[in-house]
Amino acid sequence: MEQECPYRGLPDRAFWRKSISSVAAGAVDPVVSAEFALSPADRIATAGSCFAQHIARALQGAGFHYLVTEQFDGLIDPDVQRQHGYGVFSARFGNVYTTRQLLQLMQRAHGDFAPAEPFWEEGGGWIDPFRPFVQPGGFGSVVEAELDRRRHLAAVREMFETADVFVFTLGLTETWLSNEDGAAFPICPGCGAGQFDPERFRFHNLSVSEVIEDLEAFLVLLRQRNPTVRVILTVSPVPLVATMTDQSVLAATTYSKSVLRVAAGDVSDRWSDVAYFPSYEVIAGPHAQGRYYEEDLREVRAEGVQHVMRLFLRHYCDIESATPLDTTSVAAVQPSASQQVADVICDEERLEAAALD
Amino acid sequence: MPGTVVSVSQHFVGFGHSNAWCVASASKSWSSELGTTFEFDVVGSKAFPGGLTVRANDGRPIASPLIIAAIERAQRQHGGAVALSFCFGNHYNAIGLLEGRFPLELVHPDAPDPIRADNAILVPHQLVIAQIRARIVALEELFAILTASGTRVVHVEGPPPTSDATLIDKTVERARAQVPDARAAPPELRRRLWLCQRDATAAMCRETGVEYLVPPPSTQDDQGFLLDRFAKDGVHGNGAYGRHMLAWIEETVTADTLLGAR
Repeated sequence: MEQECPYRGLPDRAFWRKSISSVAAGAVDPVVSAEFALSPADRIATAGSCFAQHIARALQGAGFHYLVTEQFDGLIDPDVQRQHGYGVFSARFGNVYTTRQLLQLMQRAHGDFAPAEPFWEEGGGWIDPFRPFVQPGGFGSVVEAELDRRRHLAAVREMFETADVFVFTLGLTETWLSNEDGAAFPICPGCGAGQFDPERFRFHNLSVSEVIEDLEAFLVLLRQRNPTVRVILTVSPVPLVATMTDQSVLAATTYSKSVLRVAAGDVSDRWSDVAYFPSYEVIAGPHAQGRYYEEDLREVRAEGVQHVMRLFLRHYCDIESATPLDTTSVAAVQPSASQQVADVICDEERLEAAALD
Repeated sequence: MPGTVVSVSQHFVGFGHSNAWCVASASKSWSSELGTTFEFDVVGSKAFPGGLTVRANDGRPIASPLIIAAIERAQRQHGGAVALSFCFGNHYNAIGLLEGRFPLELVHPDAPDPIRADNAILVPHQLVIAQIRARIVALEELFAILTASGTRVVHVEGPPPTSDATLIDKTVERARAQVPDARAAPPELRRRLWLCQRDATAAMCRETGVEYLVPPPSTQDDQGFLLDRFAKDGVHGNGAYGRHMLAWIEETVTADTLLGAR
């Protein structure tokens, strides 16, 4: 007996023409279904690369309970706090670009790992190597830096232990590690902070299996302390500022994003209550024809962020955003949205600035 | 001759709010062998309502007409005048006069050891300085306008806290109506917050070309607390403090050289 073609009858989302090429760019929706729903009562924590800040802002703007465990509300003005790294993410850890950083952040917060790297003295201030840009000018002394780190790690513990939902945006595979104990730095020492020393620091480009191992080790620790937490993984669509590999930065970006996308998909497929959200696809997909990127072809324009967040709110929060869909082409940028994009704090950009000094 | 400081008669036009009262009051019985004179017509919320600056139609800040009028009047009558600012000076108390469930820890380059061993939350001193800078923007605008017009301006820091926390008992009682576990913050924490205020204000003065004056050392103990006999309450100086302040200003500012921050 003759069998029908198995593609016959599949929904539109399975076909490129029906769901991508014949749909207006702003209406493309690659989210098939949300693995779970968020409610306004959920405490939602975020960490990750600079793109993760957009998710934090959108959730706050939509009235969701954005969990911030390290701040001075009522004591210090919000703008001043933000300039000092408070409220940018759920705790004052700055950009967490790699899964190795994320895993070690969890381990450090729970006393399972104490990196040997000391604070860096620079310009009369003391810099925390694991969040070098959160304190403008650095801390006034090692004592102050240590006390602040103690408070910070307590806030990180509280964040992991009390969040109902944790959203992590995977940013990079390229990382710099301590030769002494493998501690992962958010940025190459000597590029914007610290002094480079090839005897002490080494470059490493995480493989797919390493990213998966890091993520799973992190999830094991997270679920030990917070068994009911749900996790959303996304991949940042922001290309690398620079690569330390012998590849072109374009090829290195493709490698990095591919690895992160495969790892996030693999882990979310195998772990319950771990979902993958396609931020990368919405921004970088051919439907956008590159128009979601700024002229530098790297930073994401406000319209792109709005598209991502519309889909996030629609599928995970059951909210249809008031922002009209971009149905034909990239629409005029709303000043406030553009300003928010400009305000995103991206430590990685210091790589280029340091290289061009 | 280089380095020579020549004392000259000066006329000062003081302005400010609550921290200016004690000095304004003391000036009424002030007499000086040098001939230094003070006037405090722009002091307190009645004589000095509104902000330090107002906005022009195009958004530009304009100095308070009351301050400008007082300075111009004095310049006409005395052939010159030094503007003497007692504005603000209590922002450090807004941050840490009282504390509730979450006590703060603060270390400062001039006080580098932790205050307490409990689980107090560290507030980085640079964050406190940034907060105070944000709250004194209006003063910064005023100073920039005055110095740009050639007016010599001296800003006098508010008094440091006393080491006796009972002086703010009444404030604590009022606070408990809203925050049942409110209590006075440790004096050492308040002193360190004051040091941050000093740093913030001194930096702003340097940037705007204003001379910055700390309170008279004669009113402080060895650790820098305000001596009880100069305290009106937990946050302001009294008449005796005002008299010491006038003498201190005359001693340090009545010279024909720009003294810079003291």
